[in-house]
Order: sequence, then structure tokens, then C-alpha cells
Amino acid sequence: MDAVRLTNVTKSYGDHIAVNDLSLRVPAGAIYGFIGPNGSGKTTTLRMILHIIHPDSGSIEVLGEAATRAANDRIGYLPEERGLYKKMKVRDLLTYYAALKGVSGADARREGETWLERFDLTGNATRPVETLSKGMAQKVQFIATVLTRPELLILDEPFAGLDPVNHDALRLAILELARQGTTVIFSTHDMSMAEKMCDRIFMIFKGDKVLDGTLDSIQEAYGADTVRLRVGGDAGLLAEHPAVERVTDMGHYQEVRLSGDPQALLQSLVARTSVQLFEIARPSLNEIFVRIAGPEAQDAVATSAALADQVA
Amino acid sequence: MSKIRTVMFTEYLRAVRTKAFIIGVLLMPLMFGGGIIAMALAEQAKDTADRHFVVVDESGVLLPMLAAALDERNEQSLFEDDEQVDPRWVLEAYDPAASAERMDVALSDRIENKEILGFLVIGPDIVDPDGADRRLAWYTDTPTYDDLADWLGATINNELRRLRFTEAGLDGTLVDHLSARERVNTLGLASVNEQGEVSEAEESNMAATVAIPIGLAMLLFMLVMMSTPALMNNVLEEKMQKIAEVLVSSVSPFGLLLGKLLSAVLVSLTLAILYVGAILLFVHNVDQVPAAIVDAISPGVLAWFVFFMLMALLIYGSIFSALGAACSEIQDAQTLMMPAMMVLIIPMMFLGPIIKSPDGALATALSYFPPATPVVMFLRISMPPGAEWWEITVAIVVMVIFTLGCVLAASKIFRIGILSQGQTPSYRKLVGWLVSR
Repeated sequence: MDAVRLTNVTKSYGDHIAVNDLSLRVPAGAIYGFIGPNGSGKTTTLRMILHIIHPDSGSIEVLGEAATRAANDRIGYLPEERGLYKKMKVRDLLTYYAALKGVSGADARREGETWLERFDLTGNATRPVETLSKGMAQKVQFIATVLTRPELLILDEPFAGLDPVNHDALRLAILELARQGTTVIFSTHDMSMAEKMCDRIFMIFKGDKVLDGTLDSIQEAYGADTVRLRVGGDAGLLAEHPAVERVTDMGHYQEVRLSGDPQALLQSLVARTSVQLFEIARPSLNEIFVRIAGPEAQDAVATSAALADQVA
Repeated sequence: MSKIRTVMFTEYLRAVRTKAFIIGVLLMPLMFGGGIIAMALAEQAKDTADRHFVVVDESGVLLPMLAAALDERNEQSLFEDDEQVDPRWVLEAYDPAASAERMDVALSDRIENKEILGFLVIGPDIVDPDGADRRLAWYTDTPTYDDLADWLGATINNELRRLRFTEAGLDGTLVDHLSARERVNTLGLASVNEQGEVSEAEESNMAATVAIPIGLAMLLFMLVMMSTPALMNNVLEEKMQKIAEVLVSSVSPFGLLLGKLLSAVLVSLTLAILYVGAILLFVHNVDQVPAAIVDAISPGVLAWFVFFMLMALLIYGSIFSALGAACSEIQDAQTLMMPAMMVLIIPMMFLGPIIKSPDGALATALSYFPPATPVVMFLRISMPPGAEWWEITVAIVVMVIFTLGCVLAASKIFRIGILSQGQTPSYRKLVGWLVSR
């Protein structure tokens, strides 16, 4: 059963097509990562799933409800830009947001206390939001989102601006909710986080779906054309090699994209310098993202779209 | 429905719990009542310093009389309960020998030097109604202080009339007696009841017939002013702080708008109950209040008040909420707000002519202009002669249709605006939003 099903959805603002003929299925219980550059249509897609905005064409079914807001009470939404009433006290705010989802005050308070305790915020329950630190406010916003035990959790950049401790606390909370059966859709610019957490990944670029599938299937499609290597002496000679398409300096090693035979590269390197690391790998999600949306790929969108079709 | 109720009560509590609200509640009667008290105090705190002036009597007959009348005035009407309430006026006859300059120049200099307040020139032929030079000229650099000039005019004219009648061979005292003025009494209407008994017309009480309706109309206007522009800031704040997005993911934009409008209604009702309640307590418990005033604040009038207040709140609440949703910055909001504010104050701008002629063309036309209907129609209904039933019906039907239109249009602009970013749209663009899908 799908928690979310988009079929041929298109949304445009004036002449600008924000989302173009998008079809997407998010299976129930999955953690689905939405990636894509800024302004590529992620937030528009999320808002359409919430029925905050309506598509020009196509259909959207969420938790079995088609084209109405009927399912919204069962969705928790954490928008990219946090929205809390500054003057309201934390507990009042949580109760209000829960009441808007149809949850009674008593239930909201009970559930709220549990979450406040979990995030070490119990002592702040009666403080106005404006007195909280940024990290605390962000946790409060997260609590407001999950307080109502939603079946579908939509998180737009949930980790932005969090310190490592809070980052971890939030990550564990999301994973736990997913284990309990909550479907999670989250958008992020943090590719390693997407790699670690997501069962499936969807990438949208300039309104078009360019990736959709498990990390494995996506990496499979991009092939094993990547070599991680470290050489003694000048790394600059890598770039001169005819088979090397691109070199990304990762600090401790270089990530190289090859068009030819890796063995030939190894042989030619060994002949000229000492090779300390040579690993044939699949491209990271970060690399794939840059290949699709990086400056050199901007004019090759069509190719990416074709690749996405293969993956799907 | 329960979500609209949640929004309504939460917004209501957010509004009434603020310091600004509590201060506002206390401040408004202070501003109204304070204005009246301040005027009364200012009236009492009159400048009672002596005022000197010069009289140049070229007729040669009026000066002694003027001096005598002034003495009498200075002795008899300066004091109230041993407290001086008016300045003493000190008359000085013009002395040509005092200066070599022309009379008017010399005296003007003295005015500039603050020695005198002004000078009066009486023409030589003033007693003769057909005389060539009958000047009565008051020179001063303080024309706003007109008490003295008025007194001089009245006193001299009385004397002149007496002199001219005597000249014509009539007895001045008799003429005064015969030309005594009679006062006009303003009365209501006489009517016949079911038993055929005629009930006499009563002297109409200005306070009851005019002041109560005007006061209530002003209160209505103030309540709308206090709660609806605040909605614009409220919506704009939610939009700027991205709260709106969380809210509309839980409540439909229309539900959110409705909840906010109803919260404004609750806030205004709270204020109305406070103020009207205080007024009712006062008029029912203070014996000095005339019965006519107690009767003027009738349940019927109060029902109309609440009804028109409700309509005005929905009209202006919708407009201001929509404008708040359309803007992204406070400065833009203020620009968009101006025209709406202008419309809101129309009834107040024309208050004078409306009161003067409640069934005149202007008042009638304005009572059919929906944005002005609440205040103007309320005035027309509550003030004599009152509006015809069909006029009231037509105005209400038009207004209710307009109100619904406002709420629907606002919900559309609200829905589009609340999530829009960037440039604030013009009114033309807003109309574009209205007709868009």
C-alpha cells in the first residue's frame, strides 16, 4: 500500500513550471529522501502532498484519500522555515498545534510531556518561545509535528542548523518513528544523511524527476566509473590523464570519474608515482547529485532524465 | 468546525491577554471622556490676565456709555463663586496728544509692543443710519480672541438702536420691550394611541435624540478600528514568521480566515459589552440622568448596534486579513492599507451633514453604500426621523451580499497570498488573483 501516490502531477506559476508531469509512489513505512537543488520543486511537491496548493493537472492520493485535505490530520508537517508564535508559551503552543489536528488537550499534554522530556525541554514548557535558543525552538517545532502521532511525517530540511547532539537526537527519533510504522518523507541537502537514513531517494531537478529508487539501484545505474585514490607527490598529474573526466578533492583522497579502463589508469600511475590508495567504487549520492545538477551538467538535463527512466 | 472554533478562541485569548489590549480598553474611554474633560478643564483654565484696549470714538457720543457698560460688566460678571473666570477689560480713550504719528500707526505700534490687545475706531456718523462714515473697526493682531470684539459689537449696537429710535421720536425702552425675542422650542410628534387618546408631543431632548446615536455610532466605528486593522498585522506576522504554512497544513485557509474573523468579532463584543455595560450601569444608577437618555439606549437600538457591528467587522476584517496575507513586508502593508482606511472613515468624514439631515440625499446615498452602511444606517435608524422599513431592508440586503462577497474574495486572496513570497502585489494584481482559478 502506498502512503502517497502522485500521478502525472504538473504545477506551474505563470510561465515557470515548478513540477512537470511527476509520478511518484511512496510506500507506507518507508523513509523517502527528497533531494534536489534549491528552487527545483521540492517544496512545491511537499505542499501539493499536503493539499496546501493544488496541482494544475494530475492526481494526488495521500493515505488513501484522493484530492482532499481529509488525510491532513494524519500528517505531521515540519516546514523548511520554522514557524512558531514568539510570545506563546511552549506548552500552549504544542496544545494549539495539536488541537488544529483534532487532538484533544489532554492527549496533547500527555504526549507533549513525553517528548519534552525526551528532548530535555521539560523545564522550558512554560517559557515563551522567544526565550528559547534556536536549537530548542527547532526541537519544539519537531515535537509539534510528531505530537499527534501522524501516520505520515513530512520533514523539510529537519536537520538544518542543529548542533551534532541535537542532530543525533532528532535522527534517532525519526528512525524510531519509522520503525513504529510512520512513513517519513524528508527533504535534505545533506547527501550523506540521505544515504544513511533513506530507504529510497527521489531527486527533482528543474521540476523534472531525475532520480527515484533505492540508493543501490541509483548507484547501479551510474555504474562503477569512480575511483578513489591517493598518490604520492603531485595529484595534478591525474587531471592530465586522458581517461580522467573529473577529479574531486576529498581531502584525504581524490575521487576520480573515469571514462576508460581503471586498470590502464592504475598502470600509468604506478609507472609515474607511488600509489597509496586505489579503490574502484560506485559514485556517492553527492557525486551523482553534482553530475545531475552541477554547473557542467546544466545543459545535459535530458541525459539525466533518460538515466532516471532506466533507474525507475 | 471544531478547528475554526480552536482558531477563534486561541486568537481571541492571544488578543485579549496582551498588555496592548488592556491598555487600549482603558485608553479609549480616556481618549473620548478625557477629550471632553480636557475641553471643560481648558474652558476653566481661562487666561484671566487684564486686556487693555483703546477706543477712538470719532462720533463723540458712544464712549461714556461704553465705559459705563464696561464698568458694569467688570464688576458683575467676572467672578463665579469668588473665582475669576474672565479677564478684566480695561478701556482707554484715545489721546491724540500722546503721539505725533498717525493714529492707526501709533496704536498698531502699541499692539505690537503688547501694551494693548487692539483698538476700536468708531466712525463720526455712526448714529445716523444713513451717515457717510459709520465705521466700527476693530484692529488687533489676535483675531482669534473674539470675546471682546463680540461684546463691543453687541453693546454698541444696543446703544445705537436706542439712540436711533429716540432720534426718530420713539421711546427706546418701549422699543426694547416690544422687540423682545422669543425662543423656538423643538418638539417631537404628537400621536394617538389605540384608545384614541392623544399623547402630547414632548420637548425633544438633544442629548437623547442626537448624542446617544452619535456616541454609539462612534463606538461602533472605534470598535471596528480597534480590531480589524490588527487582523492585518496578525496575518502578516504569521506569514512573515512562516507560521502560516504550519497552520494551513492543518486548517483550510478559509477555516483559518473564518476563525480569525470570528475572533475579531469576539474581541469587539467583549469591548462592546464592557463599554455599553458601563454606560448602562451609569445611566440606570445615576438619578441626574434624564429619562429620555435612559429610553434612548433601548434594547432595539442596542440590537441594531450589535448587528451593524458584526457586519462591519466581517467587511473590514476580511479586507484587512486579505491585505495582510497579500503582503510580505510591513511597509507594503501600510501602503495597501491606506485606501481601505479611507473607505472605513467615510462615515466619520460626513458625520456632520448626516446628523444635520439624517434623511437627506447624502445620508440616504451613504446608507446604501455597503462599506458605509453599518455606521450610517445605524445613525439613520436610531436618530429621528428614522429610516423607512423598506430603506432598511434594501440597505441590509445590499450590505449582507457585499459582506459575503468580501469574505469570499478575502478567502481567495488569503489562500493565494498566505504562501506567496516576494513582491507585494498591487490592487490590480489582487483583482487578478480574484479572477484566477
